[in-house]
Amino acid sequence: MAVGLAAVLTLGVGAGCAKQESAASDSTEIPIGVDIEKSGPASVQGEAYERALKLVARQINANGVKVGNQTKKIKLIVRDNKSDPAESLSVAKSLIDNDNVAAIIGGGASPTTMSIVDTVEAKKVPLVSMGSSGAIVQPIDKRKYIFKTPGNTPVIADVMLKQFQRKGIKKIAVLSVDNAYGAAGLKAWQDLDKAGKIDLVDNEKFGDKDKDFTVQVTKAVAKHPDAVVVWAIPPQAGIAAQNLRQAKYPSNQVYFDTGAGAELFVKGAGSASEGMYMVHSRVLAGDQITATTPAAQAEKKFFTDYSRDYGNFSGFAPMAADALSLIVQAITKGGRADRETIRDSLEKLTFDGAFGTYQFSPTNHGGVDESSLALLVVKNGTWTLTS
Amino acid sequence: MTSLAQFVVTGFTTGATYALVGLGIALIAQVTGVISFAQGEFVMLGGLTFALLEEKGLAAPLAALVAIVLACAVGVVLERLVLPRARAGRTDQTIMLTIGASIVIEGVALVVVGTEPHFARPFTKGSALSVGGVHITPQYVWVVAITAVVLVAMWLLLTRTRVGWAMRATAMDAEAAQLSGISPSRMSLIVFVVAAALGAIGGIVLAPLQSPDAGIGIALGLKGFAAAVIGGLGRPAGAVVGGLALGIVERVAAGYLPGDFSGYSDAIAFALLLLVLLVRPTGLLSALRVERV
Repeated sequence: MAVGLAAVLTLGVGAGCAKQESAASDSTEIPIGVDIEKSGPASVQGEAYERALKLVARQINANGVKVGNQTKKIKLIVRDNKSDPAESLSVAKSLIDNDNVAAIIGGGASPTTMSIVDTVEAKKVPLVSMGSSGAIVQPIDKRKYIFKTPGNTPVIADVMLKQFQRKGIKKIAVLSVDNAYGAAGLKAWQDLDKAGKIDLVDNEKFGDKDKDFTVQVTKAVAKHPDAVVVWAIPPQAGIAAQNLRQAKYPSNQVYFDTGAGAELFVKGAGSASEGMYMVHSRVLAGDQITATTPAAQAEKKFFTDYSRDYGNFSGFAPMAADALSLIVQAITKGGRADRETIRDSLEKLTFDGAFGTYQFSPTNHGGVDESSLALLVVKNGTWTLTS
Repeated sequence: MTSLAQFVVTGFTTGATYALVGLGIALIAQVTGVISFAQGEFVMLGGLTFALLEEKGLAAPLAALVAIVLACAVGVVLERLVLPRARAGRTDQTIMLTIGASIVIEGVALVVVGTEPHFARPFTKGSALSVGGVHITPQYVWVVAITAVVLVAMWLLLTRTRVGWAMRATAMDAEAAQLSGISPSRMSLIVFVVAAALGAIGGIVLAPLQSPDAGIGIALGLKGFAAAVIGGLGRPAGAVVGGLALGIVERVAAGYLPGDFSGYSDAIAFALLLLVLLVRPTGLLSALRVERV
């Protein structure tokens, strides 16, 4: 406690000076706050986000950002929210009040975003989140400043639903992590159940620090579902895959949300992941994309750049990369780097990013459109497009 | 019925790790009077080092050996840090020191290894065995077998060797032990190293099942503490029973709660600790204790 208090005090003093400086001189840097999970249960995401943001910032700063008739540089201010919703709020407040940021990227997940949206909205700061829950950007009249890069949860569920309908699958069991992210996933399936599109035979939750789901899997499999849908991030997603395999549940009936996260999932689940499905952007099968459209080209380029710089690709990386690219696009199009301009300009943006195509409008602040998402399957240890 | 058996088998596996951590905590508490909240970090150190080295292509037995040696070395440092305070009779300070050490160990691991989890291969390949509808992966068998071997070895050490007698003598009466030529500071060093090795072994056998990352230590330390207290801090066997009970109760409770609540297994584990503290403050096995006169 004492350490935290001291840190806040020091920050407060330091930032007070920074504020005066930026007000006095017309800075050549645009400060953008980053509120992500560098430690805690969701740290796997935070690591990929930070790498992606640094990569994109470097590429952007090589030429600078055209703001009206000036050329400015992006300055990322990266802070750790410890995967904790309460910590995320103090990070966001500090970025707004002390660092005087032009926009915020984050939180990196639904729980750490839901805790800050009201404050950020009240302080009129544009925010681009990497959380997937639909509640982040709805109701839209209370989320004027809030945007996000992942597809809306119902959109992801819809991609799976189409596959289920093709295969004549009706009985579904859902395993979800017990936080805002998992709850959004579960709700999407409960809604589909109410609408009569599927028959939700079981839903099982687990804590965000749990590392064994044999119990949940045993209970779910006992209800004989035609498909098991898992809403979890690594390493939990990989462990869930192993536990399902261990219970001898057929792997071609297992579906993961985008959060299962690409290469770490395959690495963690090992051979257990073979044949399992995930809804994600096409970018994940980056080396298989035939780059004919501008959208596909952007996806392939990011895949290649990130893989070159960091060894292997992360499915979370493009979400953060696009958050920054979107803000920069908004600044360039709006011709100014202030909070109001960025917000107004974001809302009119159509953009082909690394994660997919965005078509923001006054009624849609919610991430890549359905056409960017695909159902991928693990084949020989890598993600492969299904069709 | 099959489900119940499956929950118990799973609980037994996790419980084995709690038991090893709990045993370390109980041994340290008896010999030195220190309650160490840093024991979970040795599970992290053991598991994470093992998984990392294995990923880098080192043979599993060698990776395990390096992991245990590293944990023991950190155990020595921890003991040197805590003991002077313990000898000055400042139990409050020693507890805080172990909590501080736990945070430092986690922090160093975060800086050195990063936040990503690492993945160890199961000790032997092969798919899950089905025994009467209960699925048991080969790694479960490994966890239980290795834990059993370690526990037997500990029992032999404590009851059949000179070092073991000396340790128990120090636990009973440090002053009398010292008068008969047993060095309490040597005993304290030995018990910290043994406890570190126990935690590391728990981490290594669990690594292929629950991919370790730098942050797993604190929670495991608390579970190990709960195991030791549930069993009664005064008895090594109590910590083992407490650990296994904790693991099983956690899984069975999660299994029979409606799906909406099955994420609450941690809360159940600590509720059990509270209950035991209220009903039987000296631990579940306290009735079996012979009063020393």
